Amino acid sequence: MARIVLTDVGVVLGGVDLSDHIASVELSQNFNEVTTTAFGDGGVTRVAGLEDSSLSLDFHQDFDTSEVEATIGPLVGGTASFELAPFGTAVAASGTAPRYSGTVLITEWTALNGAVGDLSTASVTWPVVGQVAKGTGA
Amino acid sequence: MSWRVKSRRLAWDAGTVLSADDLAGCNIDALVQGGHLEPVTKSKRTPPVQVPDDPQKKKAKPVEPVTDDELAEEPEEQE
Repeated sequence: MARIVLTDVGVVLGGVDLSDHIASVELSQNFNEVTTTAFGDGGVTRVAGLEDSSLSLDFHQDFDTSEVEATIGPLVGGTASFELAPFGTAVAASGTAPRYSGTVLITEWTALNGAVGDLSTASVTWPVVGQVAKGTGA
Repeated sequence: MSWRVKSRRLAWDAGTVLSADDLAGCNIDALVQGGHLEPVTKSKRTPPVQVPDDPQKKKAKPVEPVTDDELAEEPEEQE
C-alpha cells in the first residue's frame, strides 16, 4: 500500500472550496463507549454507542470578498456541510480515493489571531452533526 | 428564485445561474452574504396601462332602427 503525502486535500465547506487557504485537516471519527457488562462476565464488555466525530482545520485568514472570513463568518453558530477529498476535488471518489462528507456545527471561529510578523491563522475544531459518510464512488 | 455564481470557489463556474434545487444542502443566505452568489431578479413585465372607459362611449345613443319605408324611399329628384 502506497503511503500518502498530503499535498492537495480538497476541503469544501458549505459548498465553498477553501482548500487553498487551509493548511491542516483532521477528521476524527469517535464513538461513545457503552458498557454492557452483566453478571457472569469476567471483564467489562463494551459496544459502540453514538458517533461523536469532529473536524479540525487550520485556516489562513483572508478578509477579501468571497474568501475565508466572508465564507465562514456568516456560518458561525449554524451548520455547514463539509466534504474532504484527500487527493483534491478534481479526483473522482473511488475505493483508493475516498471522500468524506457530513455536516459540522460551527461552534467557534477566530477571526483574528497571530503575533507580530506571523501569518494570521485560525485553528478550529467543529463537532460533526450526525454521522460522517465515506464515499467511494461505488 | 435563482442565484448567479459570483465567486470561483463554488463547484460551478462564475455566471452560472442556479436554482434552489441545485443549492440543496447549502446555506444560501451565507453564500450570498459571503459574496459567492447573487440573487437573480426576474424583470417583471409591467401590466398594460388601463385606460378608463370613456363614459361617453358607453352611453352611445342607440342607433335608430331603419324601417323598410325609409329604405324604400327614393332620393328626391332635383330639377
